[in-house]
Amino acid sequence: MSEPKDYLGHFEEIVLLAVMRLAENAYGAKIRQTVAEATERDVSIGAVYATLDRLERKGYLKSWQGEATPERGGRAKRYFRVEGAGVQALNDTNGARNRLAQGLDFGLDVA
Amino acid sequence: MGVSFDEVERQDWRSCPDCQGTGFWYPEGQEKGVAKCKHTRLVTSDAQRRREELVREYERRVVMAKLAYQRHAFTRKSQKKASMPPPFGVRALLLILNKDERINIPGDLEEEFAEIATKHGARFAKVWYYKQVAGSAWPMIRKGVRWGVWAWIGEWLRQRI
Repeated sequence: MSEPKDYLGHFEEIVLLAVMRLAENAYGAKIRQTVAEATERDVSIGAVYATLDRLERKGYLKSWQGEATPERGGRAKRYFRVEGAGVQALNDTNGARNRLAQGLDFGLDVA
Repeated sequence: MGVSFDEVERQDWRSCPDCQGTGFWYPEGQEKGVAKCKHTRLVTSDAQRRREELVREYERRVVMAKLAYQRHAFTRKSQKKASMPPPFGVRALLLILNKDERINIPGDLEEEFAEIATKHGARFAKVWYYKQVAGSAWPMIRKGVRWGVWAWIGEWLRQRI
């Protein structure tokens, strides 16, 4: 039997995709903005960071401190990068959703 | 009507303390005879007046420069204040964050605050900031408290219900 797969929560998936999309520029404020634009909801920075920390603990993300800039009051940025396990978790979640949605006709775009 | 140069000169002479504009005066009293006035005291007083005018002009310019600097400093201060998040909001945010998060999260919010204040105004940005702090409270508390504590709270509530 194959290894048990870990599926992502809805918000975890969105945050992980936002980090992937932002690539080199993935830090707190930008991730929050990207998630807020995609979901069309005002997402709190606390919720984003709580999810990012959880994903990092699971090994899906890696973070490091960046440079401090004057517009941030001299505070450093914390950058994030998606690890291989994160990409795998995204694929697994996406695959499970697609398998479930296949054959159902409710206007959902199945890849 | 224009005033001729001679008239100006005559007017100047009239203010001469020695001859009062007549051009003649008594340097050693009326008994010792008349002499042509060289308006020496007038020239001295004119130079003095000119000097005083220059000093006044200098003082006026100094005052104007000071006022301009104060106005500029006030504008800069108010602009800087407008792009800063509300201090109460920052303090409330720091209360709910742990030591490691106190660098990145306030920095992210400050960066976005400045952008929003520029786009929508300081009042809108302040409301947004408070909403962010309020919205971050629950996820941060939930993250900070361990599962064991939640289990203990659940057990405590179950016993009382």
